[in-house]
Amino acid sequence: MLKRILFSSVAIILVFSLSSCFDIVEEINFQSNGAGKIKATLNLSKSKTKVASLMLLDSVNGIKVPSKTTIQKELNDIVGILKQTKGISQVNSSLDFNNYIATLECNFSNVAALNTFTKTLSTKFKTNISGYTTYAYDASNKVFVRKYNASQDAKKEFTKLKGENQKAFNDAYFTSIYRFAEPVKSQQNSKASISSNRKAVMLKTGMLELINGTTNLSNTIALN
Amino acid sequence: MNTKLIFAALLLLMGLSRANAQNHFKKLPADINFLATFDTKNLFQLMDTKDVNATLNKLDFFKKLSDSLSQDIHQIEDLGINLASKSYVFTRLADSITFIGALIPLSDVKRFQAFIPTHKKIQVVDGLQTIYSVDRSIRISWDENTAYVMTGVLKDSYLDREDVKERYGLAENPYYDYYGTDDVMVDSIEAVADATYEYDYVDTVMDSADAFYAGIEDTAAIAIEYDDYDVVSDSNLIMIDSYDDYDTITDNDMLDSIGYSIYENEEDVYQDESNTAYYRWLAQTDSIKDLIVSEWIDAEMTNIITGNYKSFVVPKGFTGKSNKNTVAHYWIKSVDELYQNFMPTGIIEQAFGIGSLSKLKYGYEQANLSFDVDKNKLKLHGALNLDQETSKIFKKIYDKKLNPKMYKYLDKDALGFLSLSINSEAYLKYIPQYIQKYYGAFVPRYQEAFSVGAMLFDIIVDEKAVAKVFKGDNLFVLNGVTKQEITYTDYEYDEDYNYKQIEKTKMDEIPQFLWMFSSDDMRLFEQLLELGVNQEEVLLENGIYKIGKISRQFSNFYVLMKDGIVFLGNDENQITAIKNNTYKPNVDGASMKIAKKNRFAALFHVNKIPTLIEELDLPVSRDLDSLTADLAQYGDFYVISPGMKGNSFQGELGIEFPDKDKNALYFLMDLIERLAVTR
Repeated sequence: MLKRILFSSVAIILVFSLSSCFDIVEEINFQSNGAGKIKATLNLSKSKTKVASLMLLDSVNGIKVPSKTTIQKELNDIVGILKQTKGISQVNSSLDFNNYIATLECNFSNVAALNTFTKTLSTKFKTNISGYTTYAYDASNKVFVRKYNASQDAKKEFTKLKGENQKAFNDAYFTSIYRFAEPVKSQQNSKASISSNRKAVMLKTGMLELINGTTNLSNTIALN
Repeated sequence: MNTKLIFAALLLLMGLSRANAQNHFKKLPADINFLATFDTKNLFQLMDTKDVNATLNKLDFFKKLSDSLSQDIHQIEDLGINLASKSYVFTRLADSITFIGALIPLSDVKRFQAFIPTHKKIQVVDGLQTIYSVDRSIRISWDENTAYVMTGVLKDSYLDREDVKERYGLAENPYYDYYGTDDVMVDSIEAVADATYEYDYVDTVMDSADAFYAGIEDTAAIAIEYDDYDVVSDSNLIMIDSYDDYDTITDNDMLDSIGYSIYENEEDVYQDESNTAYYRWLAQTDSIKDLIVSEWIDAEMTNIITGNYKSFVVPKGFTGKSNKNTVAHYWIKSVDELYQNFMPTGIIEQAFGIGSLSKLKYGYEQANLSFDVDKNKLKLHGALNLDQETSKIFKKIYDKKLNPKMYKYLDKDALGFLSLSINSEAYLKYIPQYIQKYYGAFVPRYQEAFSVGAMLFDIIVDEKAVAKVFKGDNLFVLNGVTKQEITYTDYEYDEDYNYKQIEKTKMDEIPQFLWMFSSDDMRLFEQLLELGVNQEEVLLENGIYKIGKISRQFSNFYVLMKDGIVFLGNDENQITAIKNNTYKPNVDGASMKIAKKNRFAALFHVNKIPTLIEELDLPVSRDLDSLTADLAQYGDFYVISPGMKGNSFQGELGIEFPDKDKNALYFLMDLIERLAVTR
């Protein structure tokens, strides 16, 4: 979900996309009552020399390069919205302009809070975030569901990028990790796998596959 | 005998052609202060007119021109301009006006005349066919050989003078005091009619009295038109505002109907009295100004055509005389004078309560600038003459050459370099004096303060000591990209998908640089770096200081002090090699020659850009791919200055285009064509 937040600032991500390789890691820790903690990390350190060079420019191929101040402001806005969202607490963020790593984390009281949050953000960034991802947790049956539809908007934006910029996504990855208090009985996404202790499910995919829709993040995870 | 005859005939022909060129030159007034010479003869010797016509045709230039002028134009020759001569644009400054004139040689007056729009009234003034712009602020006259163009810009400082306002009946801006302006304006046209006689050109104006009175009639007409215009335009705004959808107002009928309704709603028009008063004032002031300008440019033109003025005599140091590579030359009589002319002196004087800015002198005199085509190279080179005192100062400041020990770092693989050599001792010694002399002069109230300041600076700053620390010669070399190990953050997952952040390394392409400057006293740098070492910001290893925290994104910086030179760079291997005397120079002879000869030089090997873009994997739009690839065939782009030569400060800017066409102009034509196709 927070992947979408980071995606929302289109201008920023487009510039980051020029930086040839980056990682987005989404980590959600669920408690048995449905509450939990989410942490999202955007890591551009592998291409930090290039990002640093790009940040010196005003625009690249007609895309405005955001300044450090703009990036900080965008993150502050997101934090502000999060803090005002019902069911969200302990909001923390960090920006490391030496290694170009941004993190955002918060606690949520239930999955509905996560869904409200995605809706609030879609309003703020005028993108249909909630249309892509929704979470559900059935506490009685201990089933966690993530519904995901590949974003047509993202695909549209992506096709607008010139070939040489699209190429930059080749070395970009998205990783999602869900951790649970109880062991996982089953999970239904063929690209995901269950950890040895059966308490975590991880899916790592290329950004390109995610945008093209060849990887779907939807999953139904049943817990013991 | 025959040979002698032919020789004599050739001499005569040469003499004639020179006489023809001289005639144009001689028409320039002696006291012009700016002259731009466009050498179409040289231009079309460098470029065949056939080729120029072909390019212009491809760009649809003639088609567009033909359409707009309703004339058939297929080639540049159809313009009737003599392409084997020189055109001149010049300005002449007076206290009240800046005249801007042009002399264009003609080859076919009939063709030239054919371009005059049919609705323009051609009249004979000073015996020449003449047309005027609607407001009569531009006059064009022509004879068989020359088209004369003249316009002028009145100086605000002159029009702001009380005696001038009174003479021409110029009213105050009604925004300051809009009551009662009409009374002042009533007689303004008459006043200006009397007053124009008082300009320096009394004699000439007397001669052109007929034209003058015709001018008054015209101007009165203009004034009336302006009145109408103001009412209509002002009202249009009001009426359009009142329309819900003003986009529907598209045709003239509609506008006419608005205009009509305006007169019906006259009360509305005058709702904003101050606005109306302002526009009336503006229109009337403009019409007075136009009348003044039209009179003065007429008189100026008459003086030029009839040869009343003394001819311009080429001053010593003028470099605009025939050089077959020069296509344009610019000459400024006095840069100081030009500064003062364009500086809003009145405003500055009032705002700062300072003395006359006319005293502000930098010591900049004549300036020459030539635009040359030298095979595949385009060059802009010039010289600025300095007065004796400034020249003395500049000579001392720029008497220093680059430390020869630095030359070996001008590597063949470098992307470019920048060098600057000044005598820092002379600089520190003379700059306070320079400021005191040139700025103190126009702020007499603070003259003493400037003096004290200069003295204090002299006492506090020990120029000799500073010059030992920083001698004033610098060389910055931008080396090519080299692979360097950089660290980055990655994640490692265990079997339970717990992850931890780990540091990894990878080889990345990083542009390397080396900056060096001479110093005979490095204690200051040593102590600063030691301070950094104590603060654990700097690491000292084998005599090389490593600064790591300033900019982690790129790489570390390394500082080495050796042989009277301070080296600062980001290539550890290079700095280590310099330290251990194992550096293997691969000197670029051409770069070294430039660095040696000049006090300032910035040079960039343009042909290395495509490789650089590729190595750094920089995104380049596909549309620009072929143009970027072309850069590989370019030569160098450079800006150089050898410093002072005699009493003038010299400089040159140049770019070498690919050596595949006849010359740089052909390459540019081809480039323009290709760009047009891309678009």
